Amino acid sequence: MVNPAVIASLEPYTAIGVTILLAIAAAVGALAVAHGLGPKRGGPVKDSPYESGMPIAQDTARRFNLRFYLVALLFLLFDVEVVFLWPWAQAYYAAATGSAAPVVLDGGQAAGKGFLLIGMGLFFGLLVFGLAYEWLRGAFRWNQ
Amino acid sequence: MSLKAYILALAPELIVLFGACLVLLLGRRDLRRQPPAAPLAAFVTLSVALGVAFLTGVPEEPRLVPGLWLGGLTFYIRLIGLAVGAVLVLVNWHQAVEDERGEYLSMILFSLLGVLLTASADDLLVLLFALELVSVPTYVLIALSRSSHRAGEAAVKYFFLGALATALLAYGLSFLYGVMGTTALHRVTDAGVVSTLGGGSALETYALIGLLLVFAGVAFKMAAVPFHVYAPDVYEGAAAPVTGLLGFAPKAAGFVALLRLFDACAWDLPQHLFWLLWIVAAATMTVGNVVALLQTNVKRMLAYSSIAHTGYILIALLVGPATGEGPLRDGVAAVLFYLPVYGLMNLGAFALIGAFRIDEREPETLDELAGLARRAPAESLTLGVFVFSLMGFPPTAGMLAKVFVFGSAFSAGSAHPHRLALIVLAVIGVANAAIAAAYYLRIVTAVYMKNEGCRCLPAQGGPIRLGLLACALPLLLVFVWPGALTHEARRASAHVHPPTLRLAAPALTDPPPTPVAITARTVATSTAGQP
Amino acid sequence: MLTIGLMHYLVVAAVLLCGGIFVMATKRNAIGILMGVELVLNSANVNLIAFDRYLCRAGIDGQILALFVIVLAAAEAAIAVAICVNFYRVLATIDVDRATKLQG
Repeated sequence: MVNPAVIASLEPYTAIGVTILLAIAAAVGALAVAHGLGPKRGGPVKDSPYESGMPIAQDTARRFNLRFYLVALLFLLFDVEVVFLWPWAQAYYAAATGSAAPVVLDGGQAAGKGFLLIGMGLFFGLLVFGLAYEWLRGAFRWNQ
Repeated sequence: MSLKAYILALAPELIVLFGACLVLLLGRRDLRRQPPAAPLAAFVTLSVALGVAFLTGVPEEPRLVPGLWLGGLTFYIRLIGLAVGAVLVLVNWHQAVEDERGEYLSMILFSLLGVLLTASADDLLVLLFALELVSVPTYVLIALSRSSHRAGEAAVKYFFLGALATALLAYGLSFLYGVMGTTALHRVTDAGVVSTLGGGSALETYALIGLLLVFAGVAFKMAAVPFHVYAPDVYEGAAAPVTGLLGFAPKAAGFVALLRLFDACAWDLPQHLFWLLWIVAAATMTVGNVVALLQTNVKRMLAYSSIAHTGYILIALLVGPATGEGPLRDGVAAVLFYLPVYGLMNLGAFALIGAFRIDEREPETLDELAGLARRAPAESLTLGVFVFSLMGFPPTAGMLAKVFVFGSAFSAGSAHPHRLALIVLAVIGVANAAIAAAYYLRIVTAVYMKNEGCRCLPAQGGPIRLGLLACALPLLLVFVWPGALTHEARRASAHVHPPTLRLAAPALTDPPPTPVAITARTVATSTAGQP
Repeated sequence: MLTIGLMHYLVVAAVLLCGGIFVMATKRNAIGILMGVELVLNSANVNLIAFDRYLCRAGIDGQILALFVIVLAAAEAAIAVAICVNFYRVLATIDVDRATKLQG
């Protein structure tokens, strides 16, 4: 048996549940009515995606050039790494202005500006190294 | 703590990091160079890092750096990780296409860097990323190791299962974070969160879910049942020298991560988790050994043997840190002793396969290795050492490792809450070790007893033969003089105290709480009423 | 009146997790499986942020961890596509005949 308390906790969801049921009923109902009442005719024109529109030029499942993936990936990687700049900027701001809670290091002293700068410099250096490596490897050359 | 001290504390890791970047660049110029610069640079990097790690030494008491915990474990894992890593580079010297050798070797270095960082992680974030740093390069290594579609397939398989494991790990860690109220592991121990959780509270459920999922994620890396299914396929698909790495880096990192986490729980595991681990350990040993009996492909056989060895190490992990006096009572030291020994004997066995070629590929089946002793007596002799070590026979370090593991379970003090269960587990372990001898001996008989002409030809290069020697010699030497390694293992384990011993030891130099820090316990009581 | 609490977020995350695992188990397409992995990782993120907001008000550890998990997901996506591309390249150059046979 379901615990009555669980049922009670679900009460706020009644409206959502009813809405979902109605939505399903409306969708299925419309399909069922169309299926039951509508005439059934087939054929190539009837089966095409745009029955009274543009003739189809080509399949949507085309093959893309692999290089698009490569470029997209490199973009994604460097794009996402930038996310680390935001918390770092916050910490640096706190260290520089003395506002908010500073980043506390071992021994209780707050991280200084120099520490934060060099830390981010290391991280950024690695990123730049990655970029330089991609360059040397020819990842940015379109015609290899 | 100043920046300089920070950098000094992490010197070996930083050396490996910059060395890996250098190797990546050197690989581009290797085509015109003789001798090849990339493998040489990788080897020198690891040797220098090993020297620096040795000079830095082990601190008397664990030190805390934000996000990092530098204790005996850190030092020990640095030593064995870098030493086994140097042998790995020797074995992988000529692997991969020339054009990709820089990438290939730098991936080995990155993977080792992950192992080193796992040992010093004091933060869930560092732990998650260190484990990921171990795994991600291995996916690439498998794909690069040889241009066969089997390698590609193995990489795809390993990657997707590994990605799922990582995702589960992250999900589990999120629960642990919720329970602990902080991501810093040492603060959890100090607050004694896990042991103080009341029965039936929501937080206790979260803690159990978290620990279970984290264990699932880590079990994949260690190839423990039921997350072992990928191992045979991946080990078979990857080139043998990479497989040697797969048996060491992810396994070692997984066990070290568990050590760090259990230490944070003050070795006070929830009952459910203990019994789950018990079952996993028993199943892992048994499944690994029984299925290995049916194999004819040596790489698959060794893959199952690798699974079985995970089971043995899990026994010692369950015993936990020293529960009394006596040399064999320390489960953590047994784990730590087993890891490098297993790493070397496994690496050696795979390196031997990688040192020969049949029709331009590695010999894989027992038939292909039959009669190898006549063609290559020296290499076959090292194979004998590896197989006897894997079996746990003298005169090899493998025997000592098994004695320490089983001994730690048999001699678990009466203070241990699960004494009987551990003894039963150790008996299962001994029985398994006996079963295992059957298939290990098949390898030896194939190599030595069969008279068929072996078609194996030596593969390119002296470094891999040097690597074989570097695997076999330490195994014999450690058997004769185990003192050095056991001493270091005990010292490392001494920093992983059970709660009672921890109280006796001088308190950790805990940084004063940040302006925002409160313990998880106060959070638990103040917010337990929330939904 | 319904107040949204920790449990609601945890349930959403659990649903995401199950969805992700289901996707991984049923999809045959490698990119599809990758989407499953991303779902699971994001369920971890939802959890982290929810715990940070409701249980661990002390710091922003959870939010920072979530940021890192996002980066982890991106890195994994990069490796995934690289490995898949490598797989098809090798298959195309070495084993074209068998590959087409299997498809047909």
